[in-house]
Amino acid sequence: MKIVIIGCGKVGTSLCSSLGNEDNDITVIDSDPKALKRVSDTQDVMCIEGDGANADIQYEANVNKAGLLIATTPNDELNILCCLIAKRLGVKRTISRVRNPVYFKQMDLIKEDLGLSMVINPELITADEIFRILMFPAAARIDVFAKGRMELVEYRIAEGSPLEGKTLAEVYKKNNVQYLICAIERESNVFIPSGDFILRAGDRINIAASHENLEKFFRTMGTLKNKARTVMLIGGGKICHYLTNRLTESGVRVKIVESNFEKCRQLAEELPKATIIHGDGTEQELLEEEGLVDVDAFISMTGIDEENIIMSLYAKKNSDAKIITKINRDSYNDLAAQMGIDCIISPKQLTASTILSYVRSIDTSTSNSIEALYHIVGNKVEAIEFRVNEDIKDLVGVPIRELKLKKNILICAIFRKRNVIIPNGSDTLEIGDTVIIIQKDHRIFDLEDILD
Amino acid sequence: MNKPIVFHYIAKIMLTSSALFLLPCAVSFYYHEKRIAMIFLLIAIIMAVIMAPLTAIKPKNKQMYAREGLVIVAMLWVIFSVIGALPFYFSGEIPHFIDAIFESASGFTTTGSTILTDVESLSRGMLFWRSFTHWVGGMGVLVLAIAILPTSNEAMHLMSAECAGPQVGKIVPKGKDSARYLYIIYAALTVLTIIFLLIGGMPLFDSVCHAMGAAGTGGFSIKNTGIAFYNSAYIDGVLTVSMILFGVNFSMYYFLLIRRF
Repeated sequence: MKIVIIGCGKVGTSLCSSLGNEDNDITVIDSDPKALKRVSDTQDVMCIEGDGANADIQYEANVNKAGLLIATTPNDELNILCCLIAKRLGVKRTISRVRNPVYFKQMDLIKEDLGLSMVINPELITADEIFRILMFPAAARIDVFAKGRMELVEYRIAEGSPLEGKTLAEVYKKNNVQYLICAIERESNVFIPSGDFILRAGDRINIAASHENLEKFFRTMGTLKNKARTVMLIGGGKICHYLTNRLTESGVRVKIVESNFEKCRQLAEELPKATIIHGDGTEQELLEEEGLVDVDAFISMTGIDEENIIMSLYAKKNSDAKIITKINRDSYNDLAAQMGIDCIISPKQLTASTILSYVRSIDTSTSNSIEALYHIVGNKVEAIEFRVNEDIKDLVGVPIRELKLKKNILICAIFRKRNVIIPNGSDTLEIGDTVIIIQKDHRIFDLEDILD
Repeated sequence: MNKPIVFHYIAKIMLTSSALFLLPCAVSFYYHEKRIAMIFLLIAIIMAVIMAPLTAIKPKNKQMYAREGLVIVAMLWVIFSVIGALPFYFSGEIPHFIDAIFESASGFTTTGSTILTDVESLSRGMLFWRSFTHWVGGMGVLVLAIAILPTSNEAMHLMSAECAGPQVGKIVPKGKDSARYLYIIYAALTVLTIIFLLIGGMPLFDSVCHAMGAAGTGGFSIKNTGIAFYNSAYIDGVLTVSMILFGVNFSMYYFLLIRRF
């Protein structure tokens, strides 16, 4: 598909690399030649210098023949304008980033008039993600499948965990809970494991199961934590604003530490239920004084990655709280993970992966059996939801162990009527089922594609 | 420096370019120069047989930066000059290897200097190969490789190293597609030149060789007296125009074609 991206900042660049790897023709428009140079040096994209809202420039970028335009300039109004012009020029779909909470709130009113296919608010997505984690703090990350019937959580195996040194087959045999470990991250590699895979401390495993089974699993592991009741937030930006609203709505007590006095006053007006503290979050004494030891969750999300990492390290050392760290630079992720900060949130990555999922779902909408598609494990693994219909007789009724699957493909779950089946070798696929396939390195458009 | 990936790419490009020898091989065969044809065929086969297993070694670290791109490009020009010399040397038509390298390097870099005093004594296959090096070198060996090879992002670094100048001359978003379009334009213009030369009464073989020489803006001729041999103002004119056309940046033709100027 031909894609035009306006604005090559952090999100734009990361979209270039993830979309460019998927056979899309990408053209980038930006008014800053230096930013363009940076992208064109590393990515196979075409760059055009100029104002994205200029119809001539858009015409030069062949917007009229493109399938998608993504506007990610720093300016909301400009983004919307770009999309509006592109739509007039004949682009099929447009995605605009809108950060201003006021604009975003009324987007539903004007979305259709503006012809926008999708409006994305990075801070809101990030706040939602953090909120989901706080509701289930044992996991480092949660994805929800099939309208909430199945969840996929990321969990880091600690030193001395009962899982350490066991093969998956042993782990499954030991506790009588229905779940499946469907992807394992070790350092920067991702594995789709088979039964003889041996777990090690430090592995980040992705577990698929229903919510009740996950609770059971974490209970047997002895790591079940109840949802957070008190939360401390450092940095009062937009994410903090959205997150506090959601948290206070569900009865969580929120304490916000912010160093800018004016901002504190504004926050106090806007968020009457939260406690606002004017002070520097990097001062350890202040954190102690405000009860770091007693909070259930500690979230550092100032604008500076390094500060966030340092604060999280300190908090980890001094309390049992669930720690969530906002890190914008990809290159810090591995480093921070090695230091034991396992729950990292990156607004840039979340935005890019949301857009990527959307693009992939346009791509695959030609195939009628795909219901939904998710990117998990840092976009390295795909989970695809298929409907099993009559066209794929080869697969129906055959026990899974007799299917010759391609490498790095796993049948993760089967939904039959109201039941969730985590399949073992003797289960079969039946017509009418919905099935979730976990895969890496392939391009799967049809359920038949999983066969070797 | 990621040496394995440099090695891998060079092997891959060499494997692809071993096919280049098949064209002069066919030409030699057509003109009943069996020995020359065999030499071309053998070189192609030996190159493919050596390179095929080497490409099978997949480097673990696939990371490639501009540095690796520069090294690959620089090495390929040297390697091509040497390999291009092999047919001249093995056929015995240029007995000294150094002379053969000179001829081949002059061909690939479209310099057009020659060490031959009597060009006409060469076999048809060799004459064709000489002009063919001009044609391949005119667009750049690597642009050919990029157009053919199934590479993705890595090709970027090769392309920016190959194309002198600050900006990569891209006409469509994917580097590979750009390279393909450029080659299609290049080939079409060459065929056009050949047709016009044929109309002027030049024999087919001569037309093809001279058109390829003009396309690369190199200037190897297959006659000792050069174009003067034909003594035709029409042929002079056709070649002059084609030299100018081939000297222009090819992106321009693309934009002319899609009527966006």
